[in-house]
Amino acid sequence: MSQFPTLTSGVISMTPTTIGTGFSTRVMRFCDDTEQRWAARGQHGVFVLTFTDISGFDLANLLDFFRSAKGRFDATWTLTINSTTYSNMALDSDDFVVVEQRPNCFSLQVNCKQVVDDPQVIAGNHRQGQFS
Amino acid sequence: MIYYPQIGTNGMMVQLPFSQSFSHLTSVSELDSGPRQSYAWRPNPLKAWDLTYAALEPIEYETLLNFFLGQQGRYAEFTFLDPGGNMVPASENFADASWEKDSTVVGASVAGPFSGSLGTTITGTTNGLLAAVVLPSGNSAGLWLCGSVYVLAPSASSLVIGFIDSGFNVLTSQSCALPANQWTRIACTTQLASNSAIRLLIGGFGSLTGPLSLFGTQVAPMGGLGAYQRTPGNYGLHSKTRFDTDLLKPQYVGPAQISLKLRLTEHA
Repeated sequence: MSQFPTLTSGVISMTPTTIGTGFSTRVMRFCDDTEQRWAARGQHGVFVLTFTDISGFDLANLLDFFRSAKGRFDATWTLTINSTTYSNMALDSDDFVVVEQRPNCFSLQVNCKQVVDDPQVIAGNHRQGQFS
Repeated sequence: MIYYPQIGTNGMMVQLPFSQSFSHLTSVSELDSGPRQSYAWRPNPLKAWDLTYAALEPIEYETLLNFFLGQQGRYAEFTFLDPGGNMVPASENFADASWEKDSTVVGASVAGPFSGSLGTTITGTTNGLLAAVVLPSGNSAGLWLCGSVYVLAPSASSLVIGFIDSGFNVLTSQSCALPANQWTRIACTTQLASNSAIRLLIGGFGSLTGPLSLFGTQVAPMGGLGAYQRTPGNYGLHSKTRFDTDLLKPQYVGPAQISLKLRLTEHA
């Protein structure tokens, strides 16, 4: 089981970072205007990790992780933010898009989520100012 | 082999902001009952580049225009030497078969300049050297290349870095001073005058005769150092690249200033 990498500065993401909560409810609406709903997934974490002006070395570590996860394929890695470990994580996209705005300064965003229910995401990480 | 052109002085190929993407292809089924099934179609991601040229001079634009005409838009394929990549096949693994080792022994891992034990001890004897093929097909006269490597020497010394051709002729070389016990990035820049296959040279000229620590070898297709990129993860030679458009739409934004956006995609 692999772990999302930490930058050489020690942080795992920069601001703005999203540590969100999601559900997955299926809704089927019928011709007579009635509907049926069921919960396909319970509570799980959704995350947007931001990296602004990181170095080529940090980018290489993130890219190695993306390649090992094969984009959305791997859903078994973990993400640890402020001592809370979120397991059964998967990337939201098969694309890893990097922009070099200034020389040797790379920026990107990583969207990911838990694919197994996990209620701990409401534990209060949103009060933290730094994500390490 | 046809290369995407370097359009400016000192090998300028792209302008900032420079956007690159790595794309896997995954089929994912998330069943209503909860289970998730996924299948990865690509063993390695394919790259794409969004090139933004904010202000090209007319002669630079004409270079791109002629190249675009030659490729007939999306029709033909060419080789893109990625300025955001690294043309050395194995930038940190000197035991890899892509490294030709002459009178050198690859030793243990040591702490690298950034983090982790990613440096490697290399011990040379008499006239030790390392070489790695960076342009296997050659045909690259006129292209600018910059080779670099991080070096940690136990005492003040010097190390040669340069480029050689397929016949071991030295095309260019630079003897770089190394301070004691301090990671230093040394580099050599050249505009190629040979159409032979090109190899990066580290050592030789009697400069690698003892133990050194190396990390992060890189060759970039430009006239100066770029940010370090690790290979094989971000290999910089993409021989199956195409334009992603059949239309070339320059904007004339000022006197002798042309703005242009291009998207390139790798198809295999």
